[in-house]
Amino acid sequence: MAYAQAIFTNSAIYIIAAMGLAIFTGYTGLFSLGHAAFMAVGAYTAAILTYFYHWPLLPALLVGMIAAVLVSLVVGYPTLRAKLRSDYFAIATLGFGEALKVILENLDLTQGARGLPGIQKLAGPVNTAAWMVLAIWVCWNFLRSTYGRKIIAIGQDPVAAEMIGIRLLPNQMLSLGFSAALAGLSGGLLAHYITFIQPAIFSMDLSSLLTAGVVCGGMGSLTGPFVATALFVVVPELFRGLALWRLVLYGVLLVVIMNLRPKGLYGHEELNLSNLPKLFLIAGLTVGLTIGASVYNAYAPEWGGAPSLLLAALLGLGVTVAMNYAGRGLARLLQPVLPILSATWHRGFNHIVRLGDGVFVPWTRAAGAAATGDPGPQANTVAADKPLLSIRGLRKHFGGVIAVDSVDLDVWPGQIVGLIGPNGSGKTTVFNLTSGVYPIDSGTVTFDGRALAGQPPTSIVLGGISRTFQNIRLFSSMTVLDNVRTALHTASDYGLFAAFVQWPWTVRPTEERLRTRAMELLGVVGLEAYADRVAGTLPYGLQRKLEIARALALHPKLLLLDEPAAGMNPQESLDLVELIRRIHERTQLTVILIEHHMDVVMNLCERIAVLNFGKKIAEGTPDEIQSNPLVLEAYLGQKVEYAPQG
Amino acid sequence: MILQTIITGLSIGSIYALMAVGYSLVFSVLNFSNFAHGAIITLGAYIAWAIMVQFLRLPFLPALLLSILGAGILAFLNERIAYSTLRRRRAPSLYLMISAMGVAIALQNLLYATIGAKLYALPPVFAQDAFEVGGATISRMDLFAFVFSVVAIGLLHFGLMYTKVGTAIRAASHDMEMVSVLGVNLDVLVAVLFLIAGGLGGMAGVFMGVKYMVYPSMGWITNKAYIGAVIGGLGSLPGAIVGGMLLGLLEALVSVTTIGSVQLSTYRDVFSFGILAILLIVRPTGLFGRLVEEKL
Amino acid sequence: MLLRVDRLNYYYGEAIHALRDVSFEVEEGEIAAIIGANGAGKSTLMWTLVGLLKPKSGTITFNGRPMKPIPHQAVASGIALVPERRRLFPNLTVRENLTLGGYRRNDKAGLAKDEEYIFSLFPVLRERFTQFAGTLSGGQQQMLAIARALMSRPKLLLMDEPSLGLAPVLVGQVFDAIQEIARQGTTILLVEQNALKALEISRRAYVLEVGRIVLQGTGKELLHSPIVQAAYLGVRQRKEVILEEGPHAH
Repeated sequence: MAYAQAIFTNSAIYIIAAMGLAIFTGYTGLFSLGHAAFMAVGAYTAAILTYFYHWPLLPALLVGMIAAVLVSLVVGYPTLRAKLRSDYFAIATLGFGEALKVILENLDLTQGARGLPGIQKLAGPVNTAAWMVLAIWVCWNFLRSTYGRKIIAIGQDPVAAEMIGIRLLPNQMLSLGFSAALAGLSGGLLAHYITFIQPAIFSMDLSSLLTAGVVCGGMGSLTGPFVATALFVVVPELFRGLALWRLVLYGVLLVVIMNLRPKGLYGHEELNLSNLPKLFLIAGLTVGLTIGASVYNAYAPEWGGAPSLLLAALLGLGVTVAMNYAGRGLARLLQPVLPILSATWHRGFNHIVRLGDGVFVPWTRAAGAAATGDPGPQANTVAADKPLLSIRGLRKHFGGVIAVDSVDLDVWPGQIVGLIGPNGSGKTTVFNLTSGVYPIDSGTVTFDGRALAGQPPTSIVLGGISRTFQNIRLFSSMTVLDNVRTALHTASDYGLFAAFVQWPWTVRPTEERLRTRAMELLGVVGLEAYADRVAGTLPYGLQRKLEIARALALHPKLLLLDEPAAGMNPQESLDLVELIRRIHERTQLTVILIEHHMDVVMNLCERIAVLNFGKKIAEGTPDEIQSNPLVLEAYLGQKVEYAPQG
Repeated sequence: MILQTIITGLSIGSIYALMAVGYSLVFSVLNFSNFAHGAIITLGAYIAWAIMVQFLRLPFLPALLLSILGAGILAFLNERIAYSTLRRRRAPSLYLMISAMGVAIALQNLLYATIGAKLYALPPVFAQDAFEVGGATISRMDLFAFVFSVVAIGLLHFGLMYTKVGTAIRAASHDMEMVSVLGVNLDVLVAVLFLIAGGLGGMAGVFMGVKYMVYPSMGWITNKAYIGAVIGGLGSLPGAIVGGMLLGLLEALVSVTTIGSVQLSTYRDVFSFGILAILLIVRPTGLFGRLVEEKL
Repeated sequence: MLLRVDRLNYYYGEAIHALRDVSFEVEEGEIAAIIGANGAGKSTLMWTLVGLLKPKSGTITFNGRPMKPIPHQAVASGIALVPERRRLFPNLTVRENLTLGGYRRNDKAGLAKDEEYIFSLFPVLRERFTQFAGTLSGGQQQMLAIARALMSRPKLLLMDEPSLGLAPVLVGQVFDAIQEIARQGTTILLVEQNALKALEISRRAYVLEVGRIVLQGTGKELLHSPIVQAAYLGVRQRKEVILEEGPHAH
């Protein structure tokens, strides 16, 4: 019994750390290879407080968590700020992990490499389990909140995330801090369970275990790392003799999973009715292995190796299959029942919330935490007497190549302007310069009266310029609804604590509002029926529309569309033209459109500018452009003349 | 005193440089961090141990050459098993990195599980006498290692510059796809790449084993090599050499410095990480690294 | 037929149908052109022909044998590609770029002869033989890219938008070179956005639109086709466009 307790407690402790790493690596997409260091910080801080200063467990754990967060911020700020690609970042975390171990080994306070023995055993199966449940609940809430969505967006596509106004650094640091806090909690509990810690415990091996748990469990999921970490703790216990081979297995598993099933066990999905049988299968395999192992050990001396093995294998297999069927049966049983249960729960919960309305709503309103209301579709408050966007002498070069050469362009409010030109003429570069993705070499871009030079892309986006990309950049593992909802993050005003506990009186009304607004936007592009579909599974034309809906979520004054009709057949192009026209009529949005489909451009745009070799060679109405010999020459490559029409 | 420090620094620095070059070579072509490089280095040392001590009693030079060959072959097999499928599928470099980590963990612990954690010493190669130069001493082994490393890297340079395969490798570091379109068999090219990287790693492992000891977690020394490669600029071979040497020199300097009563040498590893962190803030591409701009 | 493509289909991921039942032929010794607007699928087609992309369905038959999607085998069979935007190796010299072009060959005499041929086509490459490819101008880079492909002595030379990014004068030089190469016996399949030049020099031509071949004929036929002009500029049939015959027409 004590043995089972030990396995259980250890699992719970490591699962807490794994949940933290799942948030950082699994969702934000950054690889922390030294995460055990944060566990070490939490462990040592809490242990020192209880051992030397006789603090009770709870405050010690909390201070340990805070210490881990602070260390993570100190380390994270320079490394995240440098916007390192994943390799560099991973190496930096490796270095940090090692460095911390050295510091711990040499600090008097931590008693160096000898470690701290004799810590009080304040952590046991019950409170560890409680902390684990709490940790999972908080993670789950966090991921469903605005903060969580922003972090998931960064993990999916940092460029697109910036283009909807999500600043990378603060959000990545939030993700790191949160994950470090959980690791610190895990470390503190570990220290008070095994009662003796030394720096060698928090080694690369431990970091590898956590990483393997997240990767094999599946990135973008909490269920996956939970299951995988549990397995990684439990299974080796069943095969005590395997001890060192356990880690060999971890390593091999990582290789196998990356090559065969990079998604892992539960990649980008959480536990639901359809994958419940999978969970039972995994549990069944584990139980089967356990039973098989004990049967083998019990009977092998009497019956010999081969028959015992056969019996063990049969029993193990039988248990596995039985569990699998049990899982399927349960899923089928729950299918009609679950919606009813869920509805009942929600009714009850709403009732309680309403009871509290009288108390909490005035209080939260008074505290200024109430929703201030969605800015809503603004009337275009831009001045109509000067251009909305004014580009003068814009220049950009890459290496020796001049991509944009002294381009001037004025776009007036409410216009739809086309930007056309042969391949490589600099059109997308103009967009990238305007939205702040590339720094400008020389020239000015003035938007709504203010110069854009030097502003980071997120400021420009939040200032009213929104864009789509030539190669669609959606958050493909998120649902259609969430893609749009993430872009509405500026309208979300509840705080971090409220997000952690999903405070019903601030979070729920705000989330409802965001959902309604997101559905409205989906309605504009005709995608409401697809709200719960995973964005990556949508057909190409609909993905385009989703990208436009997401761009609209930011209430832009200016919308930049980069080849929206790319890859579309004539029918889809027509739909797109209609859509853009509808949006324009409703909102009087100003639009600049890069396109190669001439039918789209000529039909939609009131003015067209033509670029060639980075220079603007013509500007005018569609008719003027179509008959401009310079334009024809640029496209077709030959001098053209017109015959007088008889 | 300063001369001794420099010599110490260069001797360990040349080993770091060897490690960093193998690592950077793979990075420059395949654009991912081969975290399994450390394991190959360790295995190189173990092969030497097996040949010199455990199973045969061969002298140093044949053992060294066999270790180089063995490590190269192991690196080649590593690529085949853990990376080639991902490479053909054009998987993101993150997957390759994780797969590499898996190999590193598996191999290191395989050593623990089979041979055990015991530290082994390789028999002394040269007589223990050393040279005296201007008040400082250089051991024969260190000199040998330094010269051998220089020659090896020189041969690598020659191969890269003047052979067809070498030119193809240099081209592949810029545009691997285009190289295949010109008729180069990428499978063969990558195999050669890993043979070379592994060979260099094996060499470094043997020198490490002779200089210090042979034990399963030797591979983590390669963290220093990674740091050296990053300092020099990932993907740049001169950068790897300079970065490795520089790190060696800096470490040697730190080891002999005492600030107040604090002997900095115990914090050597912290120092290495600190250098890395500062460099990454100031110049993320390293000293010679390329800035690869993502096409938007 | 040197090259026969039959109902080729290629998808990017699951959703993007980039090549739709593409079928065409190229006869030995001729210049064939495929023109189309940006995004029509021209480069996708080139990548598929050279074996970098694996089509979902359809066949490619070269020199009587079916082609497998293995790039280095394409060169072995006698196909060479001059890719869009050249894709030279800027960190290598002109000489080294050429060496790589002839990577698969071991006949020193033949290679030397081909080098001389290339210098006769593009004298500037002899001048800049030991300079880094990254220091060449746009036009010179295009010449080097073509030369690199020629070093494998291909039977079929695929050219993806050779005029891209070049000033008109250079475009003329490049197209002169293309015609000379064809005269020496190399079959050429040319893919271009710059329709007029391509159509002028080609015997056989196709129009690719959103992944589908929508028009085919001789170069001259397509040159005067109002459909081609409409495909490029959405020109309504309001004005008749007369094209000035340049000095390079047949």
